[in-house]
Amino acid sequence: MIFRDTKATLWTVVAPPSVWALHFLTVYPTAAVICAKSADGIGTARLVVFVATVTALFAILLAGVWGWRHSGGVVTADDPLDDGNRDSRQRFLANATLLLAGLSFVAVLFTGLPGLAFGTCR
Amino acid sequence: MGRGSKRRRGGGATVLASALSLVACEGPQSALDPGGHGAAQLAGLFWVMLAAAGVLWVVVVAIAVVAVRLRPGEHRRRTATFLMLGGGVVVPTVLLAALLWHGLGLMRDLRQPADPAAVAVRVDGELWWWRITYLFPDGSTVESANEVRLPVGERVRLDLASQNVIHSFWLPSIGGKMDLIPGRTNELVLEPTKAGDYRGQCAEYCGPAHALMAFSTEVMPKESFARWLDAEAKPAAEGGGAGLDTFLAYGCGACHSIRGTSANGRIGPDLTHVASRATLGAGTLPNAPDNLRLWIGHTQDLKPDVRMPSFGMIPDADMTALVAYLEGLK
Ligand code: HEC
Ligand SMILES: [Cu+2]
Repeated sequence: MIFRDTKATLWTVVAPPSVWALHFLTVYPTAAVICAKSADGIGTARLVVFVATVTALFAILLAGVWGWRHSGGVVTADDPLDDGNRDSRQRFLANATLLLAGLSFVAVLFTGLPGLAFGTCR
Repeated sequence: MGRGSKRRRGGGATVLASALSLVACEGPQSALDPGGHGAAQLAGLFWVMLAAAGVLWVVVVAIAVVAVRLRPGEHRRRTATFLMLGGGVVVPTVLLAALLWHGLGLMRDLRQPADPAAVAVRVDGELWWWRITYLFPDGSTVESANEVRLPVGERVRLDLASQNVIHSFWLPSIGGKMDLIPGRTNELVLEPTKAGDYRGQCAEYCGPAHALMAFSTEVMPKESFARWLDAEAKPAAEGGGAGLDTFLAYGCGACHSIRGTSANGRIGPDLTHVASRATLGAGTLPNAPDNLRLWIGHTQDLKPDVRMPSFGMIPDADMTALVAYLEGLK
C-alpha cells in the first residue's frame, strides 16, 4: 500500500496547501467568469464549485491519512523531532503534512461554502 | 498612592470611553444608527461579532489568569492538550464557520434586486464631487450633484461609475459601501427605512480633495420624493437678470449647466437647482449666501486642487447679483 512504502519529503508537506491553492484558483475565476457571462449560470457555477471542492477535500484527506500513518501516532512535545536522524526527520515531515492537511481541509471547506449558500449570481 | 486610586482612575477611563462610544453611535453618518435595511443588517452583524469577541476575550483572559496567577504550577497533560486543541483549533474553526455562514446569509439578503418600478440613480465619481443622475423607468433623466434624495421604503438601484480614478460610495446610515471603478458600472441597492437627513463620504482615497468629497442625502416620504423629483426635472426659475448676465459673462457656463439658460457646461456640477442643496463644493461648506460668495471668490483656498478657478476679480455689485441669482435657483 502506498501509505506504507512512500517516504515523507518536502513535496508531501506542500501537497495539501497546493491542493488548497489549486482549488481556490479553480473555483474563484470559474465562478466569476460564469456569473459575469450570464446571471443564470449559477447552476453550472455551483456544480464546478461542488466537484472541485469534493475532489480537493478527498486529495487533502489522503495526504492527511498518509501523514498520520507516517508520524506514528500523535506527536507530542516530548517527541524529539530534531534528532537529526532519518527517523526523526521522517516523523517531522509526516507530522507537518498532517497538520497542514488539517488546515487546508478547513480552508477548502470555507472556500467552497458560498457555493452552497448562494442560489443566484447576484 | 495605593491600588485603590489606580482602580478608580481605570474606572473613570472606562466610563469616559463608553460615553464617547455612545456619542459616536448616533448622527447622520453612523453605521450604528441605521436608517436603512442594509445598514441595520450590518449593524446587527457588528453587534453579533462584538458579543462573540467579548465572550472570547473574557474566556481567554480568564484562562490566562488561571494559568499565570491562580494555578501557576504544572497542569495535567490531558487538561492542557484539551484546552489547546479545543481552544486553539476546534472553537475557532466552529466559530469562524458559524460567522461565515451567518455572513453569507446576510449577503444573500443584501443583494436582493431593486424595485423595478422605482427611480434608479446613477452616481459618477468626479474629481472631487458627485454627479448624480436620476433615471426614470421611461429612459428620461434628471441631473443633479452632491446630493442623493431617496424615497423611504423602496429598494433603489444605484449605478456607480467613474471616468477618472477609483472612488467609493459610502452612505453608512443606509447601507454598505461600494467602489466606483473606471471602466465598469457597479450596482448597489439601498433601501432606506427612516426619513431624515444623512451624510455620505467618498471612502477610497482619490486625490488631494478626497476628504472634501462628501454628499448629503435626504430620505423622503414617497409622495414628497415624487413631488421633489418633478420640481428637480423642471428648468431653472425664470428671470436671471444681472445675476445670470454675470454668470454668463464670466464663463461659468463653460463648466456649469443651468437648464433653461444657455449655460450648458459639463465639467462642473449642474446648478439648475443649486439653492435647494444642503452644501457647496461636495460638503465643503454649508449652503448659505455668504458661503456661496466665499466659494466663488476663494474656491482655490477652500478645496485643494479644486477644478474651478477662484473668481475673486468679480466686482462686488456683480457678485451680489450673481449670488442672489444662484440662491434663487431652488
Ligand atoms: C473650469 C470650470 C469651472 C468654471 C469656469 C466655473 N466652475 Fe464652478 N465648479 C467647477 C467644478 C469642477 C466644481 C466642483 C468643485 C468641487 O466640489 O470639487 C464647481 C463647483 C461650483 C459650485 C458648487 C456646486 C455644488 O453643488 O457644490 C458653485 C456654486 C459654482 N461652481 C459656481 C460657479 C460660478 C458662479 C462660476 C463662474 C463665476 C463658476 N462656478 C465657474 C468648475 C468650474
Ligand atoms: Cu475619494
